[in-house]
Amino acid sequence: MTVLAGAPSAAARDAEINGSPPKIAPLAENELSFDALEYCRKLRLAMGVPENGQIPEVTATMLRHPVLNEVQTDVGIMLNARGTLSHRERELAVLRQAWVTGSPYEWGEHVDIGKRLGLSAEDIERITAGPDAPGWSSHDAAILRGVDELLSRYRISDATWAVLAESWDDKQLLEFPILVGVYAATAMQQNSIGARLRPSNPGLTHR
Amino acid sequence: MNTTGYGDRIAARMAQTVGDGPRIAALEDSEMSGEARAIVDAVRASAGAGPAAEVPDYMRTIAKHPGMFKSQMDTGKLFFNGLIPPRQRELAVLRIGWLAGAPYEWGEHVKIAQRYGVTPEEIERAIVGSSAPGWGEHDAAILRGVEELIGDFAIGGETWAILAKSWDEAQMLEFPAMVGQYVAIAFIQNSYRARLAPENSGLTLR
Repeated sequence: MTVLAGAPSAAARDAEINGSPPKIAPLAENELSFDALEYCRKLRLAMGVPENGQIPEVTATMLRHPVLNEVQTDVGIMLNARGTLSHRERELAVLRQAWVTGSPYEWGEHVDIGKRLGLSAEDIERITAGPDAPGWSSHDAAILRGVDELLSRYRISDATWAVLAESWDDKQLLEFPILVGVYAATAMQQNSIGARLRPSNPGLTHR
Repeated sequence: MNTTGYGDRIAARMAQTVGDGPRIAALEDSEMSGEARAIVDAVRASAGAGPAAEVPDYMRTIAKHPGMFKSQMDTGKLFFNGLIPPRQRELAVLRIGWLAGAPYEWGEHVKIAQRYGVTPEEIERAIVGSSAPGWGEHDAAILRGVEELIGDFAIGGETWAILAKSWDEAQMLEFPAMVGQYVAIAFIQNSYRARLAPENSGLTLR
């Protein structure tokens, strides 16, 4: 099982991903359209992130490919505002995904988002330990195990599927692997460009 | 981390990912909403195909979740008409389908790749990967980028430098997002055990 994408520690992975300036520079403020801010507002609203009237640097970078950014934002809004998993279930999956893929930007942002949506500091710590850590309900453990299975073997095993299917309907079972994949895609993108972390985001050491 | 794929255990992998049928039943053709059908036809039109006589099983399954169905179709249309040239995209998708042991994706893209100029010899070589002899430098970097994204969730510095010689910044942003999207499709199709189309023999197709 790959954890932190094989890096020896959170600090080592942070340095590997964010130790150099981003490989692609953001658009300058005067190159950004009004639409961009509107999209940021919609996404923040869907995710329950406080509105600050800013366009994050990572978004200003993504806007070098506006069509891609628009579709990715719509997908994010769908999963967050019209998704079928509970907020808590979604954030458990996203955080485990961000940890296993060793993604400083996603991990740090979603620690804050997860806490706003009801995850405790203890939950966050236990997410880094994974599905076998003591204290998870069988359903929560199956969510974390499903993430681990998808990222290492690209499918959900029979045993994990059976536990998830005790509580989830077809829509939720279909949404879960797409949710993990969509956030992994963002991880691949942010890790590859070495997206600069926001000042409030310390990366993989965040708890 | 898995960077070799399932080539030495194709039968076992097919049993896991296709097996004796889907874990979730598809909607009947008659249960597809007019809106869902229009979305399917729009995606097909964007790929130069006419309206579908019958909507594929996979689409009739994810149509059970209309919001996700629409956003998946929008994403598919985006990458199918993206900034990365189709032959290069298909080389990447073949490598993803192989490494992820994804019979549905692999089989469908063996056919699609050939339509965009990928040769039978290149399909064999995509199975071996970036280290196989015969690739041009850029093609090898595309395959290595996929291997790095699947194994380490980031494109390595050397691979990035080679890709950035030929691709502009928008293409460099598109590549990891596109790889991630096709990985997501492997996740869902492998997990619910999507039924293969009749002419798709899965991981054995060449």
